[in-house]
Amino acid sequence: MTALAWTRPIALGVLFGCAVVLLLRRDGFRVLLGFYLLSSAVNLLILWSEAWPSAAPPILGEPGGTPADPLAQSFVLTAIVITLGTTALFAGTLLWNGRIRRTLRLDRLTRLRG
Amino acid sequence: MPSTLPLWAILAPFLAMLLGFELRPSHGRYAALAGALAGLALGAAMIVETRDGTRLFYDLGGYAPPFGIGMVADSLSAVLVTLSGLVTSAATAYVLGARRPRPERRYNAALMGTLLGLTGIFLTSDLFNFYVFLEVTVVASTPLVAYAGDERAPEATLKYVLLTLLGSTTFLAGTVLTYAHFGTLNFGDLAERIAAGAREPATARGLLAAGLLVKSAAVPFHMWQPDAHSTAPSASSAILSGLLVKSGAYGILRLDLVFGALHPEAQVLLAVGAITALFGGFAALATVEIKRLLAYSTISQMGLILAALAWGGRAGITAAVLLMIAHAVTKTALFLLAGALVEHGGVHEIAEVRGLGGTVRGFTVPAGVALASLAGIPPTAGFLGKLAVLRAGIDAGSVGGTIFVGAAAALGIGYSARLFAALVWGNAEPARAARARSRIRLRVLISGSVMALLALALGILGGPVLVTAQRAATDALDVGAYAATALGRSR
Repeated sequence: MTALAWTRPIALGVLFGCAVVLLLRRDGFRVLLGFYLLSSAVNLLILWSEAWPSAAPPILGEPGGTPADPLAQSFVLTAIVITLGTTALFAGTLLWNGRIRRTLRLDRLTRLRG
Repeated sequence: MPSTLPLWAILAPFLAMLLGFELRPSHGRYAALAGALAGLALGAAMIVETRDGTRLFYDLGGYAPPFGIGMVADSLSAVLVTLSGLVTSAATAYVLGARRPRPERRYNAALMGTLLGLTGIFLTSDLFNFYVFLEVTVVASTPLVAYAGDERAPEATLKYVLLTLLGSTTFLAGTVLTYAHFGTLNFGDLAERIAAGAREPATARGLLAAGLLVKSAAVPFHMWQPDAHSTAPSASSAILSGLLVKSGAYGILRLDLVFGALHPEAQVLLAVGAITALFGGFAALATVEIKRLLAYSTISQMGLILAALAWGGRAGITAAVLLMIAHAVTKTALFLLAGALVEHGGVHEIAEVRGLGGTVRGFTVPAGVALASLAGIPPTAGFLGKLAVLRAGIDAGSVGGTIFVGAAAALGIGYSARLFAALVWGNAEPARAARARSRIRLRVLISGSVMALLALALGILGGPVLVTAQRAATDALDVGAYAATALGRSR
């Protein structure tokens, strides 16, 4: 196992861990960052999924040297675009709340209890 | 059999959405209605085409699978596409008749975008494409919640956006792990490898299931649902509650079939379904708002659908499809009728409904029929659905589970009776009655009443509905034939 192969799971673990910690905060802005971090971690997972040993490249013919997986790259392109859109949607909703309720703290949004 | 029907079912709402942006808002509503009716007609055509077990397919861009992305319609997909067209048509007709919410380009576009996403979910035969359509649905349905014009709208929208987006991100993570394991995401390819003895990693399966359970508002993930569904304008609530949650249940069913029988997980799904059904029922008994009661009853009925899916087999899938049809029609009728009370009569709480049944013309009969269907009283569609679910439980030999789920189903009688009793008993407060009588016109009630009568008609003419549901279950269970179509063989 090369050094690079070691760093990938650790990097993903750190990213997912930070995302979960941020998502559990009360401050809406930190939750937004957490959501973005989570999406990015999943995007990185897509990009690296091709390198995992069980992934057979879906291209025909003999691969010369290390096969690159074009499918994972097109997935990650789509996913990055979707991440941008969904993060913008969440940010917009958060700011809408902030403008009307004068706070970004999620624990102050209590009008819909029960 | 090659067919362009699946393509048109996605293009029709898309074109209506674009047209809706171009036209004046008052005309755009007709474009939205046309798009929804086109979806209904195309779905009905698909049911006719697939009735002898043929599967329709369309290869996007002419690239043959497994390289290209395919769309496959079997009779299960056809039934759900038809249902989407039906519910969206009813909601759009309500917007036309009731003029609530106010005509707006963006609202029409959101309606059509949601229909587009749902149709895509039901027709795609590729896991990544499924995820993309899931996101399309989330993004397009957010304005549906946000249009409430209520001070609570931002809060409900925020909950809806955050939790459903986390659900679809979880689903994406599961998709990626599936891809890393198999190197393919085509449903046919996956099904054949599983049939040849490969195993889906448990982590991937769990992530996919969690993402879909968020969509179907099952109990540990239900927090967003009552807020979003009760705050949204009533036309939106009908689509969210009648349709959108079904996309999660459809995903669980389709992926369960593709990845083979989920034997250890079936018990977990049964427990989730039973607890969801019971929780939703008790919460609906306790709540004070009309629309919140309806939202909680959706949670309860989704629990019944999930339990039927957990029992599985032909009986279980038939029951799930029957209850999906029955619940979609019933809940659409109820939300559209409740819209008349909430948005025109200014009545929000169940206590305020007291005696209004006698004062508002043409309201009590359709509302009573729809509530009977929600409770599961014969001869309505809801009765057929609930009966089929309990039969599936007995067929699967799960006596304890059947008793538990039966108790949860019986709670439906309780919360429906609560609403009906409030409607017909007592005398209405004179000022409120006068206001409701003058504001709630017949044009507001037409769409909801038609759906209520449909719930009754589907119950009385139960035979064809049952046959359609059974055909959907039989086709869905024939995974080999589905895989062959999705892979471009045996056409």
